[in-house]
Amino acid sequence: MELSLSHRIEGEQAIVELDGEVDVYTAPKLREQLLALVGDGHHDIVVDMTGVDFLDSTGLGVLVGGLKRVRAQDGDLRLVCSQERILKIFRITGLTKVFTITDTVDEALRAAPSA
Amino acid sequence: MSELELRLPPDAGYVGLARTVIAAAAERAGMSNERVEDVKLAVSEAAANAIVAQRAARDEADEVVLAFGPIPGEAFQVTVTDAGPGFDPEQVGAQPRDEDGMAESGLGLKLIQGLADDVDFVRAGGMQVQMRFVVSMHDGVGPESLRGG
Repeated sequence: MELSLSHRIEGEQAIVELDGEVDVYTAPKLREQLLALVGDGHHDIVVDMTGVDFLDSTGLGVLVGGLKRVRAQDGDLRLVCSQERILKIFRITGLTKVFTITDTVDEALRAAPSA
Repeated sequence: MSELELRLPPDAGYVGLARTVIAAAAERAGMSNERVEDVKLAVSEAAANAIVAQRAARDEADEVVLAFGPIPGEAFQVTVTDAGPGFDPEQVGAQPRDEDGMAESGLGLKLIQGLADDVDFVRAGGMQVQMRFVVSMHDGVGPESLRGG
């Protein structure tokens, strides 16, 4: 039950691609990645969760933490997810009101607030 | 009720394994794929909480115990027990939230309560917390299939 991360930079935006399970054990890896990107000055981040098989509250917490950090720099963190069982988790926790969640990476990139 | 038990050292790395085992048992008990996903997440949250609590209590010699099995004719039950200090679910729910509702912690409990049909928090002996998930199955599967499972 692993998590693999990759990321790429497109202009001012960073896209993080997740593959596998985000849980109490693997979430710290995501936190580190987000911290590193923010530390490098990337404040508009898209997290592509298309390949996520599992997400728990630790993962949610890391995403919320990332969002707070970029917002403190007038940036944004948006999610790409179209899997109903993952969207359900955001709904139950009320986080659909907090995050912009799109179906595709393109939509997420275009939804940058300062664009 | 025929019950299985899984004993985990308090290490977050074992939560994924626990999910796999519980999911297989829930599937065998006749639950739909969607409900199995619910069980997986709820149990994962409870197990993660238990492991963190146990580590905080520095009681690392003790294991976190997951007991699970079908209740014939009714449901699938999972109990997660740890030897940590315990918590008050009322208090966790009352955590102050950011104005925007952006809570970074305390979401696990909300998920457990949202996914399971019945949740009881029991403090036994002052040091144990038991969480039991009675997950009802309205998946077009009759109670007959739960007997002798």
